[in-house]
Amino acid sequence: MDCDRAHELISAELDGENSEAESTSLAEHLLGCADCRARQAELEQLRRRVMVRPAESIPDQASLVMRSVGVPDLGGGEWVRYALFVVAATLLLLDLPLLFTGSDTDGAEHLGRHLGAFSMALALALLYVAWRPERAIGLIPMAAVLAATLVVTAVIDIALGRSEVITESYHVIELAGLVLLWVISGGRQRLRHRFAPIPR
Amino acid sequence: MDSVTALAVAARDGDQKALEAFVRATQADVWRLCRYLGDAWNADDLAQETYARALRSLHRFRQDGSARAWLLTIARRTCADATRRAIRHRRFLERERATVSEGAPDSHWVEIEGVLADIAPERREAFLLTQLVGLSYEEAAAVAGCPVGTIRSRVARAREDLMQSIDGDAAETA
Ligand SMILES: [Zn+2]
Repeated sequence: MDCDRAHELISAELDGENSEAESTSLAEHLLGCADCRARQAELEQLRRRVMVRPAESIPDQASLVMRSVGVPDLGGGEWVRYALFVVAATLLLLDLPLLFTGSDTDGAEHLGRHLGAFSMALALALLYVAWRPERAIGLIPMAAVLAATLVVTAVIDIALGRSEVITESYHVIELAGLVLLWVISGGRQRLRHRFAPIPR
Repeated sequence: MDSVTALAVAARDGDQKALEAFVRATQADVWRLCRYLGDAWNADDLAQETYARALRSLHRFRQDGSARAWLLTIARRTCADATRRAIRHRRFLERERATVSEGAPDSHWVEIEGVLADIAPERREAFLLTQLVGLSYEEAAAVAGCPVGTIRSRVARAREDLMQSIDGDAAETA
């Protein structure tokens, strides 16, 4: 065996990658070659220095990765879930009668049922989020449109004198539901991330 | 199936706790590879990019291979792409290297780290995968996409190059 071949076997021997036959023939070469024995000692030292190198400070990637896959950073803490439960229960209590009697106003029974169905959907959706907060973000568009429509029509009706402030004031409950959804979905953190400088 | 692969399979099937554990179990190896293969680029950014790519193709991951090797293959490709883009950033590279050797406590390691950056990329890669990440020659071959015998000779050559550079440096300073 020539020394070039022996150098490759010395390297593989250090990593435990030689076959038995290779180990044996290397050992034979080393017996008769002082140069290769010296090289073996040097490479052994190199290997040890790499092994005992100082620990790098490796930044934790996991939190960044988890954020990138959109696992929501839920906001607000436990109280938001209880608040959502209360809002949802209030909506249910207020609107269940509407669904069955169809009316609290004059005559428009069929329309009343439809309204009741919408409120019921929102109330159950909020209940669901109180149970599974990580689903909150998906409900925000629907809840936002519903709350915005209610508020706009309420304001118009009050302005035109078709409704009293006092009868429309209970839409505050739907608005509260929307705000709670936003908080629990981690919307505030999301905004903060968007405007924060990218961490290096 | 090894534990890292089991985590990857669970993560693929939607378990987010497993995904987090998978990242934690592999991030040191990914970061190290990016640190020494990524040339001018920031290792943190490359590691992030590696995981972003891995997540995009996680649904195609099959459990018959090792998840660690699969991920390191992606890291390797990410670094190669970045290096191609980095050719115009040579000056930045010099600066990065200068800051690397400052303040590190172990002078032997600083010396090795310094010459490691100067040896041929495919030898450096074989050395990194087997010595710093600790893969077997067979695993390293799977990551690098070459025969085991090639890894074997590249590791040996990398060692020769490192010894030569270190001896050369010692002669210069003497
Ligand atoms: Zn010899």
